[in-house]
Amino acid sequence: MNNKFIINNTLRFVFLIGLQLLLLNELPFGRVYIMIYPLFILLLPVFTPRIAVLLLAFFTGIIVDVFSNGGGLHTASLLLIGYLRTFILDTFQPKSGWDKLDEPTLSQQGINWYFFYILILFSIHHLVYFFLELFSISNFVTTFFKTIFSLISSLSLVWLISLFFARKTKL
Amino acid sequence: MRSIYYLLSRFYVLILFVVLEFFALSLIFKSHKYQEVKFLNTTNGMAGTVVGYVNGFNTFIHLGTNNKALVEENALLKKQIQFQNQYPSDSNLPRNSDLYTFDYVVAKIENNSINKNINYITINKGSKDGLQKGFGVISSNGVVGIITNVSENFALVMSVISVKSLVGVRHKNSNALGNLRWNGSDPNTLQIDGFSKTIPVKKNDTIVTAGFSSIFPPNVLVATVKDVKPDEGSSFYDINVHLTNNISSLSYVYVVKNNKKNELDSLQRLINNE
Repeated sequence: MNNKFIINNTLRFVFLIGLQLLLLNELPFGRVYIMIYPLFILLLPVFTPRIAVLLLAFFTGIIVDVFSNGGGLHTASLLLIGYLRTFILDTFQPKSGWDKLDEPTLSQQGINWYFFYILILFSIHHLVYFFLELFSISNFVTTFFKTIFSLISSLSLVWLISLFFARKTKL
Repeated sequence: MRSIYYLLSRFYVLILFVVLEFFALSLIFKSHKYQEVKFLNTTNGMAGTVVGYVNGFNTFIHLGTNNKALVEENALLKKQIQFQNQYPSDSNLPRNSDLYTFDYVVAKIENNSINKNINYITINKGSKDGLQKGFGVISSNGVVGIITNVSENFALVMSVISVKSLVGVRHKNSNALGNLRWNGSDPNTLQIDGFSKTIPVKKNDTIVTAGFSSIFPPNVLVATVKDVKPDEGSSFYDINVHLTNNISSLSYVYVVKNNKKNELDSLQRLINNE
């Protein structure tokens, strides 16, 4: 069972980081910056040790930073949601509590739960990323709109990917 | 001692989080302070190579457009040579490369983005080819950016589509001086400030580099005016411009090496210190 988790998450890591670095970073649409790599951290099994979540977030962030000239921006914002993930999971746990093998995925937790889960954490991630990037509030309105547009695009793509894989596992 | 141990065992996750986050934030602040991406960037050997390999595909897609730009530039240069041959310059002048202020180094773009607030371009020439921080980068039909990081084999260019970029420009018809900036919203539209309302600025007017800094040679194409409206509160125009080159589709660029940069800079430092 444990092996299955490791293989699944490794494949998910390769897929998401690959898509981010090879395609999404190079898109010629300047008004939005689509980021989907945080999904890897969000979908880790519920009972992944918190230390492991933080270290994985750190290394994922470093890799994305190195390949997209982020200089620490991705690491800082990903670490934050890696840390906050536990509290969100605790707050929104099912009535019977989390089961040992639960994963916070679309196919296991249902559409409503999954939608709010990714909405909350992706919003935090995108806000922190764009405001750290600027490190001033001089362009507040522009940055705010860029955050909103990017968030909508990222969430749409995350939703598509999740639907695609959710259906596949059920079949 | 025991209480410390207790604290550690209880809050180790928070402590680890704070330590790692502090590390990441310190990297960001260093980048902001010196206007360069200090550590986590594509100029280190492996990342640069991988990224360059990936970009091969991008180069291939834009082959047609880049070819056309080169042919046009060739035609322009041919015209200029013709003009020079008609009026041969004094042949006694020493043809020493020291005489020419600007040298150009061709570099290939390895990585390019336009979707961030501060956009960097990785190029495949570095300190080995004599590149330094602060050199300007142009393409065959416009300004691209300024080098902020140099490693042995790669350099990082902050493109003009960055909220921290600032390039001195000139209105070609009236010689008025201004600054090219970007407000961070639309990467196809940049802004120019500093043109006084007393000069006539019209749509489609040409903007070129001012050439007063040691970074860019004078009269390099920058942009064409998209729309002009007078700023109510000041004596300047609000001007939106289109860049003359499409930065996202570039494959090759020229790095401008100013042979007299050190001399100019030390002179200017002298003035600033007084």
